[in-house]
Amino acid sequence: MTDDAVHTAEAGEGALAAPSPVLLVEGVSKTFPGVRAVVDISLEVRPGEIRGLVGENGSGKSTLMRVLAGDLVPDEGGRVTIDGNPLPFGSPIVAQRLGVGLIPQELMIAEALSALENVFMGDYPKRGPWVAWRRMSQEFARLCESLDVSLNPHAVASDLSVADLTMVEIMRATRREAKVLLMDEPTAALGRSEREKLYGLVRRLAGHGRTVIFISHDLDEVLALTDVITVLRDGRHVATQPASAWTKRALVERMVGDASVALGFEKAPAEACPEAAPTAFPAAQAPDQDVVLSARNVTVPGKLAGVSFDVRRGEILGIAGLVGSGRSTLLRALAGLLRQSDGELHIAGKPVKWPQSSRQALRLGIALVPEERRREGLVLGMPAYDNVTITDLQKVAHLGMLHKTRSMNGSEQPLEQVGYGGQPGTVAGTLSGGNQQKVLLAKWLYAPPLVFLIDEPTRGIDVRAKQEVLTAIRQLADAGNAVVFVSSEFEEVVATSDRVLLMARDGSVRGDLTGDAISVDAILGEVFAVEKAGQQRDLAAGGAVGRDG
Amino acid sequence: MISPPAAQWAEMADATADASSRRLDTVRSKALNLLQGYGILLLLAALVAAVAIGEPAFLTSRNLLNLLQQWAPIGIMAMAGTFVMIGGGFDLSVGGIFVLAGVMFAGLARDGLFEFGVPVALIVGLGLGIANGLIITRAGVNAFIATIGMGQVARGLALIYSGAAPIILTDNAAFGVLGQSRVGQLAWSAVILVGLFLIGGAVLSRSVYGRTVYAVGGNPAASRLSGIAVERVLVGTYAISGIAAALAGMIFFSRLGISQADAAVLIEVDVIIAIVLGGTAVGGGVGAMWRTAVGVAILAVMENGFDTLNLGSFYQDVIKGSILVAAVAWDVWSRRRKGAAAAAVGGTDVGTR
Repeated sequence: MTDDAVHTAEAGEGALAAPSPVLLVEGVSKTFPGVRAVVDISLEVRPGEIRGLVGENGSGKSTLMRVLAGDLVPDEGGRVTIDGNPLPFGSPIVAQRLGVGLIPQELMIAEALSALENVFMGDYPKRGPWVAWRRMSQEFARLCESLDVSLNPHAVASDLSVADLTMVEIMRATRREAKVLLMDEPTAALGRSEREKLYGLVRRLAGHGRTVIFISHDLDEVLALTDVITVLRDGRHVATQPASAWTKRALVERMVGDASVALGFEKAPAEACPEAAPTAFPAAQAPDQDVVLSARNVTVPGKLAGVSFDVRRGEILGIAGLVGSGRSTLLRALAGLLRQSDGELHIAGKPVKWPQSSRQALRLGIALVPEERRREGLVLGMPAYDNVTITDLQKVAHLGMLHKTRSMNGSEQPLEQVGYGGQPGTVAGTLSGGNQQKVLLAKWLYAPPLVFLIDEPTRGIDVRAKQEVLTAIRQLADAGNAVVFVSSEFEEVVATSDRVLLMARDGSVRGDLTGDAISVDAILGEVFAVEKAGQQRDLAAGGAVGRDG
Repeated sequence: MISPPAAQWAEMADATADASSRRLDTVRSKALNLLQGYGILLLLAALVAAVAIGEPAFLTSRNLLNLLQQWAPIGIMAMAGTFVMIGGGFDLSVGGIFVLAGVMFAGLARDGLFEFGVPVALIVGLGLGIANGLIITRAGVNAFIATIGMGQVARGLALIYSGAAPIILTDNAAFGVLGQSRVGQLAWSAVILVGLFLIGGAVLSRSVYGRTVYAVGGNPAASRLSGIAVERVLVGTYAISGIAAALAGMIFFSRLGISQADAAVLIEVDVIIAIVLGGTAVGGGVGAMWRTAVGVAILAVMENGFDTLNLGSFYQDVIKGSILVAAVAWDVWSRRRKGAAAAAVGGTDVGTR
C-alpha cells in the first residue's frame, strides 16, 4: 500500500541514472522470542548513495543493521544481496568480505592499543609470521590522506575522543574495501564541530562511490546529509523518499503517529474508557482533589532540566516527546534507579525523600514497569505465576513456605484481569511479547502500588496484544490507580491518556494537554514549537543534547 | 465463539502442516530434554551398578552408611553452596572456613573450653560468610576473587592459631562425639547430613527466601525492580555457606580426632564439582537441591569404586577435574541448544539466563 506507492515514486526519480543497487534487501524479518523486531523489510540502495534510516527507539534500525552485518540470522524467507552476491546470514566475516562495514553504536575499539593497531586489528599486514609495521604505517598515512583525516597513529585509543575513534572505525572499514558502510548513530556522542568533520567524511566516502547507511535521531542532520530517507516504525518499513521530498514534520509524523500505518489501532480504548470510569469508580469523579504523586523540579544532570508534574487517582498521564527528551529517564528517576537524580516529591500530599533505590521507591508506592521486559522485567526462567507473585511472596506463603497451587491461585486473578492468554505455569522466557507484557502488568496488580510508571509497554508486540495491553492499562486507572505512561507512538498516547505532558528535547516540560485538546496534531504542533525553541537554546549553549539512556 | 476468518483458518492449517513435519524433531528434542533433566540419575545408577558388580561389598548397608558419614562434610557444604550458586554466586572460601572452624573447635576443646567450641566455630563461619557477601555485594568485588581471598585468609588464620601443628585429641571423648558417635549403625553426622538436605531442599524450593534466591539468580535487575532486597538475599546465601562450612569442618576433624590447618586442601573444589555435576548452573537461577544430593552421591560412589580398584588419589584428581569441566561444558551446550534463539536477543540477555 503506502510502501508500494512510495517505492514507485522513488524508482521514477532514480530512473534517470539508475545504476543497479549495491544493497538489496528483500522481505527480511527478525523475530526474537516475544519480540518482532523487524517485519518484512525491503530496501534498495544504490552505489554512492547516503541513505538515512530513522525511527524511534525499538523501530528495528539496529536489528536490521545487525542482520546486514551478518551478526544476526533473520527469519526464513528474507534475502539480502550485496552487489549481486547473496549475503549468507550469520557470518560477520563473510559479510565483511562481501563489502559490508558496520560502525556500531558501541564502537569496537581495543582501548589499550594504538589508533594504528585498531585500524588494522584482525588483519595486520604481514611479513612472514611478523607484523609489517612500516607497511602498516604507510597504509595508515594513505588512508588518512584519502579520507582527509589527521590522526596520530601512535595515540592510544583510550586517549582519543569519540569522534577520533569513529574515524578509526571508518578507516578500518574503508581499508577493507567496504562498499556499504552501516553507521549506527555515529554522531550521538559527538559535539558540533566533530559532527561537521564526520559529515565531510561521509560525503567524501559517498563521492568515492561508497554507500553509507546513516542512522541518527537528529532529523535535521539526516535531512541535510542524506540523499534518501527511510522511516521505520515498530519494525516495519513505513516510507522511503528522497531527502528533498521530506520535511522534518513529515518524518516525525511517519515515525510516531501516522494514522495510515497505525496497524489497525483504532481509538477504541479511548471511547471505552474515560467517560465510563466515573460511574464505576466514584473516586474518579473528583480527580482534582486526588493528586497521588506530585513531583517538582526533577533533575538528572544532562538529561532532565527541572521537570514538574502531578498525577491523580484514576488518571493516566501520558508523556509525549521525541527520543532524547528524557521520557524514560524521568520514569527511571522516579523509580529510584538513577542515583544522580533529584527533585521534590509529594506522595498523597506529604513530602517524602527523593527515592535513591527501587526499594525506596516501592516503599513510597511507586512501581516501574520497565521498557526492557526481558532484561529488567521478568525472571525468564521462572513460570508466569512466580513472576507475578514475586512482588510479594509473603502474600501467598503459609508459615514462610510456598506451595505451587497457592502461588498459581494468587496469580490467577491479576493474570486474568490483564487478559493474559497463556498458562500460568509457562516459563516466562517462552511467552509471546504481548503475554510477557501482561505478566509484567499483572505482577503489579497482584501487589498494587499507588503509582504505576509504565515505559513503552507495547514495544515489539503485535496489534491485538497492543490493544489488550492498553486496555489493561486503562483498567488500572479505572480501578483508581495513578498511571504515568510513556510511548513512542503518539497515537497510543492520544488514545490512552487523560492528560499528556509534553517534553522537549532538552529534557524540560513544554506544557500539557487535557481532554479534547489531546490529539496527535496538537502534540506534533507543540513538539515542534519546542524543537525550535530548543534549537535556539542549543545554539546559544553550543553543546550536544542529552540522550535517553 | 466467533469463527475465525478464512485467512486465519489457512494460517492454522499451515501451522498443522508445519507441526507434523517437525514431529520427529520434537520427539528427539523431548528425549534430549529428559536426558538433560534427569540424565544425572542414569549416571548415578550406572555407576552404582558398575561398582557393585566389581565389589559386592559395596551394596552393604554398612558400607553405604559409612559413605554417608564420610561424605557428610562435603555434602553439607555442597547443600549450602547450592544456595550460593543458584543466587548467581560462587564460594571458594569454604575450604578455608572449614579448616579455621575445625582448628578453633579443636583448640578450644584442648584448652578445656569444649562447650564454647561449637558456638564459636559456627559464629566464625557465619561471620566470614557474611563478610564474603558484603565484600561481593557492597564493595563489588568479583565472587571468585573475594572468596578465594577469604579462603586464603581463613586458612592462614588457622595456621597461625594452631601454630601449624596438628592438634591431637584422639583421647578427648567429647571432641569425637560430633563425627564419630552413632545410633546403632547410623552415624550422627550422617543424620545431620540427611536432615540438612531435607531442610535445605524445602527452604530452597518452597520457602519465600528460596524462591527469592532463584529470582535474584535468574534476573537481578528484574528482582530489584520487583522490590526484592537483592543484596540482602545474596549476603544470606554466603552466610548459609559460611556457617555450613564451619559445621562441616567440625564434623570432619571430630571424626579424625586430629585437627590440622593444612588438611583438606582443595576440598572446596569437591564441593563445587558436586553442585555443578548435579546440574545446578554456574551463573544462577537454575538448579535444585536433589541435584546436588545426586552430585555428592556420584562423587562418593566414584571414589569408593576407585578405592576398590586401588586407583591412587592422583588418578582420582585427574578424573574429577575432567568431570568438573565436562559437566559445565554439557550444561553450556544444552542451554545453548535450548536457548539459541532466546539468547540472541541481546548480549545482556545471555547473562540473565
